[in-house]
Amino acid sequence: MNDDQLMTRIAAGEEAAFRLLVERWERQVHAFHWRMTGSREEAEDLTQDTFLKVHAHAGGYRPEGRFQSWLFRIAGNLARSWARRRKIIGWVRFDPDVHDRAGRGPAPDAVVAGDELRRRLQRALACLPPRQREALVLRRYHDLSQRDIAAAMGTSEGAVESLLVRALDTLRRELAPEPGAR
Amino acid sequence: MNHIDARLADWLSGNLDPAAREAVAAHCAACEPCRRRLEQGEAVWQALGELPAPAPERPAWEGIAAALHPERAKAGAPAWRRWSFPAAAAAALVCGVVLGDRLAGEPTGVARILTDDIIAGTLLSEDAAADLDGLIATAWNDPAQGGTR
Repeated sequence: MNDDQLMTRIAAGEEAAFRLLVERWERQVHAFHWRMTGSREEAEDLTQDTFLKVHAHAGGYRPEGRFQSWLFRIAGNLARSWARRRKIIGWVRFDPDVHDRAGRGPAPDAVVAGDELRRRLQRALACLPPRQREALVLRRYHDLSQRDIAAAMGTSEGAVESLLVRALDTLRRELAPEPGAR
Repeated sequence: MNHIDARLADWLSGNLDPAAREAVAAHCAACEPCRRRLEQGEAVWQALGELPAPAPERPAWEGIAAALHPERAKAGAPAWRRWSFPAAAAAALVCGVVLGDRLAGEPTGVARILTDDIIAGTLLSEDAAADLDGLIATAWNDPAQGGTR
């Protein structure tokens, strides 16, 4: 059963359909909120809020095969509201433990270099303006097209292109080898 | 101005059709700044893909179901949280009597009688009464309730 069919059933009051939809999308929505807030707890709360809004607005959903962008529009609105409430737009906590990777890895020197790269990238991502970060996260991690990102963010495709280019430029600069580095 | 901006994200995400991809590659072959920009963009794109996101610690459905059905969440709460205010006040009274008995040295049985009266008066649910009974038994180490005294 596809997402549109589930949404039709949710609008008709079928809780089992809603549960199926939640279980299908919760990891993606949680990952989105985590990348937008940098907090696991906030991500869990915002994920729950996102699905409650999906449920509340199921009757207004038009089944046109664009569920993902509709879902991320709700998620994005909540993430931006969260940032406004906190008045810490652009700030995300960095939790190095989250980025530890289990299992056999490369040689110690390479691990240090890889960890350092990830830390710098995570910090740079966290410092992007929220709309740039949102566009980049939707494109890189959720594989939304520029058209779908534009729909999710309530803007034009040209604006999305600009947000992506600026975000990538910022990250390129942040990750460029430091002068004097090996 | 950059010459590949309009196609940069599509190039990086592999969404360009072959003709467009060829056009970008041809441009970068002749334009050093664009080639460098594309190479660095690819490095960033790949590094971004190596940033993991943590999985949720608990299924989202638990909280969602509780929000949709607050009455079920209340029914599933621990017994002490379901006690009404009068029942809680009665329990506090019994505990006070038990403590007073204990401080006096010998159990008078007042606490147990009082508890029975409270239960008979239906102030407490059966679950709450059982919890209270256990509490008293523990206070007196009642063997009938699994105590050791």
